[in-house]
Amino acid sequence: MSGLIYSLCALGLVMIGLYGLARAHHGLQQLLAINVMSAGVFMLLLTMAARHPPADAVPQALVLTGIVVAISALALGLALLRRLAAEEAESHD
Amino acid sequence: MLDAILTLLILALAWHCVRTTDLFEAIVVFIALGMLVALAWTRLQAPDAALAEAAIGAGLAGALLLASLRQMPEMSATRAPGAKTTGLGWFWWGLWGALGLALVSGVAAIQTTSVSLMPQVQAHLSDSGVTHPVTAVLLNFRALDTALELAVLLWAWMAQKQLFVPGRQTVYPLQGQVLKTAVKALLPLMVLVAVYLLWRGSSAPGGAFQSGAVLASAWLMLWLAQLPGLSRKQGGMRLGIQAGWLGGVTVFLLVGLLGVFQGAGFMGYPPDQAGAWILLIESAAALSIGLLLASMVLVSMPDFQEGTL
Amino acid sequence: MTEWGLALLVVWPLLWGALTMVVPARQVTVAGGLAALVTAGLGVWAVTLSPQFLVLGNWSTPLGLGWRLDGMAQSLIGVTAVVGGLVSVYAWLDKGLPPTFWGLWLGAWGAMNALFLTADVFHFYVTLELLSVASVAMVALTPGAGATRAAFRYLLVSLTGSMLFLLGVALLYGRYGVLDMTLLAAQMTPDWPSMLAFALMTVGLLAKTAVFPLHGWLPQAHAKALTAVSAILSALVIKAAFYGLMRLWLEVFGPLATVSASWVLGLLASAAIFWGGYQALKTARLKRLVAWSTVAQVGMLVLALALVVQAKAISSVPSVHLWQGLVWLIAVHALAKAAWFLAAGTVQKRADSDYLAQIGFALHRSPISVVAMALAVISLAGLPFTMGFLGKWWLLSLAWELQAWAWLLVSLLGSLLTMAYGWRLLNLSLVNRGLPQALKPVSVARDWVALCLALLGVMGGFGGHWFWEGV
Repeated sequence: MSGLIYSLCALGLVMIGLYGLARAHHGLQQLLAINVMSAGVFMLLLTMAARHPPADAVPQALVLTGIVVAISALALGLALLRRLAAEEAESHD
Repeated sequence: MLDAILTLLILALAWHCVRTTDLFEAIVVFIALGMLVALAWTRLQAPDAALAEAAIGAGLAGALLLASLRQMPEMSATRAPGAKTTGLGWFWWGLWGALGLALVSGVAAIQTTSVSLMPQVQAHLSDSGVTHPVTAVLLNFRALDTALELAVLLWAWMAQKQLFVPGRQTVYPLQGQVLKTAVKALLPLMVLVAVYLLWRGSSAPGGAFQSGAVLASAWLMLWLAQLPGLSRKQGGMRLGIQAGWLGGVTVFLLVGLLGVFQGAGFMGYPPDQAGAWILLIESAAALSIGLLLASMVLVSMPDFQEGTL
Repeated sequence: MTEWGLALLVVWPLLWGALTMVVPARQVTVAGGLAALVTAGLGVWAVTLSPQFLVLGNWSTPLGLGWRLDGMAQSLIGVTAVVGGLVSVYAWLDKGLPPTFWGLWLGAWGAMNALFLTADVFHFYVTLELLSVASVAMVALTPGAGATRAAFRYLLVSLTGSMLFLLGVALLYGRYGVLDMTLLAAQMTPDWPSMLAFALMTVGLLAKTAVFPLHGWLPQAHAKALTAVSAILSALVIKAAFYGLMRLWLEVFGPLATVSASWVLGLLASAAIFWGGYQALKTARLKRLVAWSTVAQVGMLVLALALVVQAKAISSVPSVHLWQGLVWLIAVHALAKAAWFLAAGTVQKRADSDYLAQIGFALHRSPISVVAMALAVISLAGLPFTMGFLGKWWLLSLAWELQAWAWLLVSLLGSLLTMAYGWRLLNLSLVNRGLPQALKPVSVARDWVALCLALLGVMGGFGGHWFWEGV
């Protein structure tokens, strides 16, 4: 039962992330929305792993990999936004 | 019951995170969301993933976001490229709803399917050099996944170094003897925790990722308290830091090549040596992850100047 | 021996790419350039190997990661090696390129080689992310807010595409419990979760390939990038995502890739061909024109994929030369587009302007680059005696056999459009060359590199016999 609840939670996060991506006004919001979405995708993988005991180690390992990939992308996105802010400030000066 | 409440809380926070127009609030909510998600993952019997999500997905991501926020223009000043100003039209709402329904029915259809690679993992666990299945998958069965993921981290850092703009603001450094003493006392403890997590990873939840995250916070503390340490531009230290950045990927890939030499295949180890090689790789990887994540947070600080790294 | 070579194909560029971070700035170009040439050599060597499947670490699938060297993977590795090698020579000659380029480029190359080799859907995702991170960073090498904004947008689309792809991977794992492409293909059943995974992964990769209507990020990113980077992105990086589409449609989801599904691809492709061609006719800027042409040419590739899917679904059509034709078209586009971007970049540098109205004289004074562009255009349009002609011939005869008249017409019109926007440039160099103006000095060696690529794209046509009969 709890498996189903968390599957719904995971899909909810994915859908909220997609919605957020579509309505975001600021680059930071877009990055946050993508990260909400990725949390949902990771959670879906974990619910797949937890369907039958013992929990499947393969999706759990994939999620660990995914978390590091996600933070790398987030850091790159933020660096681009910081650079953009600096460049725009320069052109206004 | 707990699961239902947790789910509702997570979804409510996520909704608020993408809806709010206050960026600071959105980030704080995002960090809280990450913590709750980590909690949910412990309920899904995934302690490794939960630890990593709490430390990296919520903690370090939060630090990155908050540090970057201070250098960004207000909401009204930047319009995200291609962003819509109004809400979604009915067409997009329809598409969104349809996708949601499709996903729910698709996932419901495989809710009780019993397919899993766990039997395979367990069958080969004794040849993997470790006893914790997740570590066996990450460092042995699917080693190239992990090696390339370290590469993603390194290349993301390479990109950030290139994008670096020196901080313009002056932020008053955290000062005070108490802080310095506290950090000095905490530091050995954190290093100890990191080493313990690494060592534990071979038989129980833990490993390079979690250990790396702890190392990253230790280094950040050192820097924030302005203590002489890794963050200073000293010849030897500088070389050490650079070696640390590259260490994870290079050690992993070189050991992988050694596998070809030893007849164990690319990214493979002879079973009797696997444990030792994995420990070596994990140590290099933890150091790399720690240094890279901390460096990423450092360069995002508003007062960070070039040359410190 | 073989395993060494294949391992080095991935490890060599990644190690050297990482090491460029510690090599002193003055030596990076030498170190990076030499490493790139060795990578190119390894890639060409990989083409001569016999096809094989190996599982990393001597495990077996589904537990371990499979590497598959088959004709499709070999061809893509080979195309990447030839085009990547020549673009590296150009980059070496370009003194204005920041040294960080080499680390990023080698990382992207290693990621592509791993991507072509892997037979695992999750590993495919990891390689795709490594490629995206390196590519986005390469776009951001251009100074100025415009390029940074383009890079950010590219990153967003790329990440969203990856997440949709990963969502599909999660569904596949939940349904089949394996991640290996060959095992998935063997078990694939047309049920709801599989269809959903198929749709999600396809949309994710269509965004990364920049197929209409998900192409919006491409013209900015490819036009704003530095010249060598534009060539790499347009000629190679989007092909990596297209390669993923080929694997999904022709292999993993074989039973689900029906004729009606192929219609969706065909419609998107047609829209891309017309819209990209129209924009290329309309734009006032040089590199924008070449970038819009990529949007149209990607449409042509997707149209070809749609036809191949149809041919596979209708068993009465003899299924020979199906993937070969697709790979041939990829090679045609990679060579021609790399040549075109490099030539355009050289001319742009000489004129110190990207506006078509201001480059007439520079074009006139860059005859080698103009020849390179002209050859690229006629190969893309599929005129006789070029590599593109064989590709177009294959495409048209396939459409003929399938009696897909609509797609046949679209592909012919696409060729006409290619010639029309290509003529815009030749017209500038031959007829409306404009008033003499001071030009920036740019080494003529750079024109020659572009010409080499374009000539390969023409002469490849004479190697056609060997390729079509040999595989």
